[in-house]
Amino acid sequence: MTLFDPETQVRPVEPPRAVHYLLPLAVGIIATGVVSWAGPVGPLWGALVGLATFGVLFWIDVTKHWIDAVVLVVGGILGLSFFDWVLAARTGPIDFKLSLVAAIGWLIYGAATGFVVYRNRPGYRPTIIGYQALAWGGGATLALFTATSMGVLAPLNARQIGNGEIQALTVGLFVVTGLSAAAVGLGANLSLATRLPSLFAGGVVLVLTVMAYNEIQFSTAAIATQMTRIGEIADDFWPPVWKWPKSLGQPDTFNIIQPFIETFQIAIVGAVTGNLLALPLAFYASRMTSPSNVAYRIAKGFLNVVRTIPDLVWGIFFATAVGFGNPFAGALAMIMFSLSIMAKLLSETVDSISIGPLEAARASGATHTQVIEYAAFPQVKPNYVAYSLYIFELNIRASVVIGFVGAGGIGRLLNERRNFFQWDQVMAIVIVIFVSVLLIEWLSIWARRKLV
Amino acid sequence: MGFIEFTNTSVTYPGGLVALRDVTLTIDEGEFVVVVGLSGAGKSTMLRAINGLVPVSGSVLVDGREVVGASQSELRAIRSDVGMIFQTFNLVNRSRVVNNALMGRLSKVPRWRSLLGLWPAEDKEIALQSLERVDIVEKAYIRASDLSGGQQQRVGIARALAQEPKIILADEPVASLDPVTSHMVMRDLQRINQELGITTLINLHFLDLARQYGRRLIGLNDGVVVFDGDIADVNDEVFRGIYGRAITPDDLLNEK
Repeated sequence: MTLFDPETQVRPVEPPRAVHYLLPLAVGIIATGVVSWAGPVGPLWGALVGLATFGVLFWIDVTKHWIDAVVLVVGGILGLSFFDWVLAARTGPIDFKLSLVAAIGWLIYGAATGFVVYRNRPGYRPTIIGYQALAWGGGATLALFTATSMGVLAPLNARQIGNGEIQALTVGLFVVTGLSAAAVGLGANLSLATRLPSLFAGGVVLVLTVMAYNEIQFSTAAIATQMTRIGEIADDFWPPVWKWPKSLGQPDTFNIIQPFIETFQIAIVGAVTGNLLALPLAFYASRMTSPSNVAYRIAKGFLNVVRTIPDLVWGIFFATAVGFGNPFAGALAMIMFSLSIMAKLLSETVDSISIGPLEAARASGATHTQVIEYAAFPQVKPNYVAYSLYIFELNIRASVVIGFVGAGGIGRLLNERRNFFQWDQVMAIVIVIFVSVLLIEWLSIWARRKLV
Repeated sequence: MGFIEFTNTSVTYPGGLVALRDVTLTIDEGEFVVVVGLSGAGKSTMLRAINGLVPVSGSVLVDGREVVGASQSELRAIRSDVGMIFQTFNLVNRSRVVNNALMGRLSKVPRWRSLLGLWPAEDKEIALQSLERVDIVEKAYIRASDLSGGQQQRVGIARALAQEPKIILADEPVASLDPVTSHMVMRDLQRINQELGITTLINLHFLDLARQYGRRLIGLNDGVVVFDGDIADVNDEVFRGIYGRAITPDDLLNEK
C-alpha cells in the first residue's frame, strides 16, 4: 500500500459563504415585492417566498429536486397566509404578543425549510427542522417587534394597515429572517451542533436587547422633539455664573474652590489608603502568591463582595454612619472603591508574573512574606504605581458623584445648586470639574508613560 | 557537614506522576557530583527533593536533618544551607544585581529587617563578596535584565553563594548558555567546589561537560538510579544504559 493514493483522498467540500445566498435572495425579494405591491395577498407571495428560497437552495447545491420546491411553496403559502391574516385582523397596535402570534406563520415556513435541509444534507438530525422553524419564527418576531417598538413603523401602529404595507413588512422580514436563517441552517458543511450554543446565546442577547430598548422607551422621535428645545436649555446654562452669595444677604463670593479642594483631599486619602490596603490582599487573591488555598478563597471572596457594592452605595452607607455631608464619609467610600479596583487589577497582574524568582527565593529558605516582597512585588511594582495613578484619577471623578449622596466635596455643592435650579452656577461648577479632571488625567498619563 | 543521604526516596507529584523511585545513595561532604539522564528522567526532581521543593517520601537527610515531614520552619532552616542555581537563572529582572544577590541572605536576617529593607552592613558585604567571587561585582548596581545570559547565571551563582551554603544544587545551569559561557560557568562551579569545599550536585545534559568537570556521575532513567560511580568508568555501554540509546552529537556540547 502506498502512503499517498489520490484515489482515497477525500477533499472536503468548500462550505458555502454568505455571499452565495445574496443573489437568489435579492431576486426573490424583488420578485416578491413587485408582485405583492400589485395587490395579491398571502397565498401568492407565500408561494413566491417559497420559490425564492428554493432558488437559494438550488444555487448553493442543497437540492435540485422538484419535491423540495413543492414543500417550500406549500410551506410558504400556509405560513405567510397565516402571518397575513393575523396582521390584517388585528385590532390593537403591534405589541410583542402580536408579533409572537404573527411569527407562527414564519415558524411554519421555517419548518418547511428545515425539512428540506434535513432531506438533502446527510448528517443532519431531524432536530434541524425545529431549529430552522425557531430561527425563522424568532427572527420574524424580533424584526416585527423591533421595527414597531423603535418607532420605525410607528405610523403603522396609528391606524389599521393596508395590504400593501403588510407586504412591505413581509419583504423586510424576509430579508432579516432569510439571511439569519440561511446563516443558521444552510451553512451546511460546518457542523450545526458546534454553532448552536453560540447562536442560541446570540439569540438570547438579541431578544434581551430588543426588550431593553423597548422598556427604556428608546425613541428616535423623542430625541428629535427634544432637540428643538436645546436653545431654551442652553439659555439656562449659559453664561456660567462664578460667584454667588454664600448665604442670604451676603456679598457674592467665589465658592467653588473650597469644596473642590475637599474633593481632592477625599480622593487622595481614598486612593492612598485603599491602595496600601489592597497590596497584601492582592497577593493573597492570586494563586501564584497565596499562602494557601483557604487564604486565596477568603481574599477572593472578600474582594468580590466589596466590588459588587457600587461606590454610590458605599457613599450612602458611610454618610449614614459618620454624618451626612461629612468628607470623612466620602474618604471611607473612596477607600473601599480604590481597594476593590486595585486588588482586582494587581492580583490579575500577579497571576502572570514569572514563577522562577519565587522558586529561587523559596529555595533559599525565605519566608512566604519575604518571597512576596523580594521576588513577586518587584515584578509588579511598575504596574502598581501606574494603577495607583489611574485609581487616583477615577477617585476624583467618583468622589464628585459621591458628594450627591452626602459624602462631602464638590458633589455636595453641585447638588445644592441644582436643587435651587441655579443652572448657570451648576455650569460653572461643571466647568471647574471638567478642566481639573482633564488636567489630572493628562498628568497621570504623562507620569504613567514615564514609568514604563 | 554538607552530606546528603537518600534512603528509599520517592517523589510522587499531585497528578500521580512518579518522578523518582526508591533512590538510596549517599553523597559525601565536598563531593562534585554530576547527574545525567534524558529530560523527564527525574534529574530536577532529585535536586528538588534535597531542599523539599517537591512532595518527597522515604527519607532524605541533609546534613543530618530530615527533609521528609519537616515543618515549614525546619524546611526553611535546611534550605538556608542549600544554594540553588537554575537553568533560567530565575533572577528578579527588575531588581538590581546586588539585590538579587541579597536574596540569598533572606533566611539569615531578622524578619523585620528584611520587611523594611534594612539590610545589615555585613550581609551587604557578603552579597558583594559573592559577586566578586564570580567576577561580576562591577555590575552590582545595574538591573539584572541588562546583563547577558552568562552574566545573569553568574549572579544566580552569587545569590546561592550569598547563602554561605554547605550544598549547592545546580539544575541544568548551562542549558541556556552558549559553549564558551558554559565552560566559564562550569569552571566557576568547579572552583567554588574546590576552594570552599561546598558539596555540589549538577544536572547536566551534555556528556562531555560531565566528563570534563565531574568526578562522580549519577545516571537516572525514568526516576531510577541506573548508574552511580566514578566518571572515569563511564563508557558507551554505560551511556546506553542511562539514555537507552547510543551517543549522538546532540549529547555533546563541543560537537555543536
